[in-house]
Amino acid sequence: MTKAVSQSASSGAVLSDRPTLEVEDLFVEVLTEKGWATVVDGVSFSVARGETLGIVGESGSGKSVTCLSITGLMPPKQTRVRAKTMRLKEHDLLSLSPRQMADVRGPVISMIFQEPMSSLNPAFTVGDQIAEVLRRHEGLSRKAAKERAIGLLARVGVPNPARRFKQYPYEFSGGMRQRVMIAIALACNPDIIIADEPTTALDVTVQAQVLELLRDIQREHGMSIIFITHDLGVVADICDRVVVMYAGQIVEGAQLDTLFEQPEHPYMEGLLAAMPRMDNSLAELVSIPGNPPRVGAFPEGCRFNPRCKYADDRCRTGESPVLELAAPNHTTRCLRHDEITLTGTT
Amino acid sequence: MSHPASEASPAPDASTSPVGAEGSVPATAQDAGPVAQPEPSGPALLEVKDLLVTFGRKKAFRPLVETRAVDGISFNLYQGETLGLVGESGCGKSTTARGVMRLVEPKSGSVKLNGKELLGLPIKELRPARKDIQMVFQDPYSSLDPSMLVRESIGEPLDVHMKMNRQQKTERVAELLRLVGLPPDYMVRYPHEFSGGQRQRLTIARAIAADPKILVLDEAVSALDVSTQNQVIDLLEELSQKIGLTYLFIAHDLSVVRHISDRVAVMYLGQIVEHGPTKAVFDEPAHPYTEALLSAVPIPSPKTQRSRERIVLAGDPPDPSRVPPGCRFHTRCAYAMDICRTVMPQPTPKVGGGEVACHLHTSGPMLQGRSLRIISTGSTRTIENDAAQVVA
Amino acid sequence: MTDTQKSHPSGEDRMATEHLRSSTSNEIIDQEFMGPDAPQASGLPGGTTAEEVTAAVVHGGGVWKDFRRRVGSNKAAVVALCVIGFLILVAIIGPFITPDDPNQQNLRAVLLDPFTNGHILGTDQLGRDILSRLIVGTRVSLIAIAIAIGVSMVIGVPIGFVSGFLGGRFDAVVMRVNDALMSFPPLLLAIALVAVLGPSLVNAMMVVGLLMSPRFVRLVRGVVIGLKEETYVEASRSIGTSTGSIIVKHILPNTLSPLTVAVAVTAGYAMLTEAGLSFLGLGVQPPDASWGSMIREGFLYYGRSPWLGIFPGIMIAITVFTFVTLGDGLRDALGREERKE
Repeated sequence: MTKAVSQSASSGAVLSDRPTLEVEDLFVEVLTEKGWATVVDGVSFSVARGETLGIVGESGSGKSVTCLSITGLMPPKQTRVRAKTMRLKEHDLLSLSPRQMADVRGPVISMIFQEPMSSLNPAFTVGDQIAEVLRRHEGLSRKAAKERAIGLLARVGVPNPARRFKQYPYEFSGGMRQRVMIAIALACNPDIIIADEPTTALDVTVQAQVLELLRDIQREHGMSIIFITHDLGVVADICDRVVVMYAGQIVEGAQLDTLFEQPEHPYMEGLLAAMPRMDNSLAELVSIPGNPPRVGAFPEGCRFNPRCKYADDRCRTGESPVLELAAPNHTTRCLRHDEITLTGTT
Repeated sequence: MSHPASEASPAPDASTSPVGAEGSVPATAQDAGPVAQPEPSGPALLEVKDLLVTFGRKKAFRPLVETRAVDGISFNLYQGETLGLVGESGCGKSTTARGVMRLVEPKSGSVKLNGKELLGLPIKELRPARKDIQMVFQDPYSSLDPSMLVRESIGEPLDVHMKMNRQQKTERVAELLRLVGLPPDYMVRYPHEFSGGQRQRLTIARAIAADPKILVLDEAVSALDVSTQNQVIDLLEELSQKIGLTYLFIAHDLSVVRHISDRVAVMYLGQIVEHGPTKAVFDEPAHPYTEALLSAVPIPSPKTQRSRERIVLAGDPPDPSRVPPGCRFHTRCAYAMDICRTVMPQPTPKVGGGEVACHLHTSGPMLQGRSLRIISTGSTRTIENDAAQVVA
Repeated sequence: MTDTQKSHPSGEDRMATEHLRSSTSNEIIDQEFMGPDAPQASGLPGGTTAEEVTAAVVHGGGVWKDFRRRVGSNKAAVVALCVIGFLILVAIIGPFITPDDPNQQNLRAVLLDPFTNGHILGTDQLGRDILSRLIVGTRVSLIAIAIAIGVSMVIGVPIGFVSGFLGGRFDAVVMRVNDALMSFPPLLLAIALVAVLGPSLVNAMMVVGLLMSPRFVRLVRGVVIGLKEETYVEASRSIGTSTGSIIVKHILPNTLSPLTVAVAVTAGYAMLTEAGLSFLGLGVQPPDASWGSMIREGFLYYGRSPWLGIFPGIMIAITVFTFVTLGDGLRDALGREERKE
């Protein structure tokens, strides 16, 4: 798995300046009952300033682990992380000590998680938790931090921010808690926010609110967002560029429209066909047969081959294929992408 | 399956509803239940009327706080069809299912299965009566007893309703496993050895073990990944054709509901605000809440998603224990009128079939059954409403 | 397919499967992924073959096997189990293997140091062999634990079960009484009760059992309340299973694992309490030996012969530690249900 081609994965958007985040050949191993298992296998991507990169994949595809590793939040004793490059602005993330990493989290990179309830400490008021971040990273006084925190709460659309500042997480609804999480993530004006399934636990109408808020904030601050999700609808709504992960690897990466209209990997085609669409009930739902392989049980050859209707003998043996350019700015890990024509959506 | 009306009912596809023309006759069936035409004719397999489920907690020295989780819901379920029940969390859709199953005891109303009233039936008589209606739950992980072999879990309804001997039971379980697409040798394994999708197949196998007529699916595919989810949906569709099952499909995922349902009912705060044939509800939503709900679902097509109109509702749904007076949706509704704040709207038949509970369709100046989208403008609207502040 | 299935005798599968099962969930995944019988929604598999049914008999899992494997992988728990096994063995055959008569006094050889005159651990103030007394004391101590745990389970488990299952007013009353019992200092209450009933080991341990029963009430009640909320119990109700069957099929089996853990941990406490009561002279009566009473008897001579207390003390410490370790190990091993992918 030392392929120069994988570098091409990082060439997504054509942007003149250096990308905010650059990850090249990221490997993550975790300790399981049966020893070390590779859960992220040679992942490379970059995120430009102001760009929203979607990472799509089913559960167990390694999408969350990728991002937790970037932010240094994987449990150190049970994880081994290595990469060729992992650069966030001027910081080389590979060489940072845990302490230095903690200084980077907040002002440079921050995260929003799926479960707003478990991400907030129930024992402290919401305001304290926002103010703490500000005091820790910006050295603000108690009073200044409170003012900023109330401002942030107002910014993320929490009504009555001054009163809400003094309330505890349990007094907030799911959507409001996610707004608070966004306020905390925003507190130190990070250059990049990683949002890990931030709307999965929310109702659709609330999800629409949160997506709208993220879009507004991005427009205002020009920050980059990495948006992890399994919902292609959400991807279509908010992302500029997308990488698709399967069994620990990136299998396809392209600009949003290209990816949906002309997918170059059978897995993406399968996902698109499998998404029930609300605007078209007559389309037949096509399942991808089988289940995603679990960590440690990845098949030989292309990891998708047992579920792929296009697979031939080449796909079933040897190393897993490498990422290749299928078109400018469009990478795929499919050996047969030149031979087969895949259908997307319109 | 032996229901006489079944032969007459149309194929499970709402788009071809042949009785659609009858929808324009609003006067009929006003007291035969809330559901007007076009519905499959004949007697309903399951008839739910004015179902009221309350949760109350009496604390010492404090007045009883009563939450009307399900507040006067009525619907019919006909042989062979799939009725989708949608709504956001806390709207009472799961409680409706539990009320119908009498897993929670409804306070009042009527649930008739094959014309037989289930509410008020003593538990001994309820058990055999309930054989015809079984349920599949959301969480495939906690739905199976971890200490029981698959054979025992799936065979549970057989023990209760069929009085089979061990050998018959093993055969039946093998048959059921094959029916849900699993190899029969899985019967001697424990639940923890299975993935989520497989477990959901197992719970479906258990639910159909005693040959029920109706399956209540409470968010049965929500916890699964996209590809697994479709496999289970395919399985459900296959089963409905093979053994003539009727589904009450409860879900928050509108795309899935659109795909699987023949008719849809939309719930908000314990009430059905709109119901009708799937196509009619999704293409021509008549209730402002349905409209907002539909517009909030992102469509997995970048071009469509960019160009479509989005309505972002402000605020959260109100606390079910303190519902607003009048129309329950008025606090978040862009079209709210004075009457909406005081008078609760009654279900009115609408064009294309079904009913809607909204003053726009009775006393409102506009509409009369037209789609709401006709009157809306702009690409993204945030519905702000000062009444929202009052209740919050 | 009917005849093939007849060929598998009932009851045998369980044993057969236990024998063959070392498969973890990964095996299923492999099958699912590569195997020919991978479940596919599109087409249902055809008829059963003889192989399939035979496979069904040999395949599959056993909770006990899985449990044994998981306990087995916990070294501390294995050691603890061995130690307890050894103690039980000693308790059973102890009286036959003592080097001397444990109650035989020899006033010419009192307070001997260890390794003198053939007394490996020395003698006490009456010249009795300490090793022999420790060995016979094992039986007394273990019986004491058994009585205490037996009594507290007989009282605690049904009450906790009913209380958790019924809930409501009954539960409220039970829990208040329970709290009241738990708020007493147990040793003090035991002293009072034993004083009324008369000092004897059985009395003392029944009292200890009574005093420990609130722990079981509380535990079982909590477990039952938790289980009542489980979806599979609700599913069972929706199927139409009667309450009695639900209790027998779903609730009782799933109460067993936490109960096992609690028994192991409580055994340690029971041991300690027995030692305490015996130390105060309220447990086993002279000349019989229990470890606690040996400490008390040696108490006066600590200045000269500290081993009189040290040896039984070590035994008590080891036993308590062993039971608690075993409890922890069981807890880890039985935590399987909580593992979710």
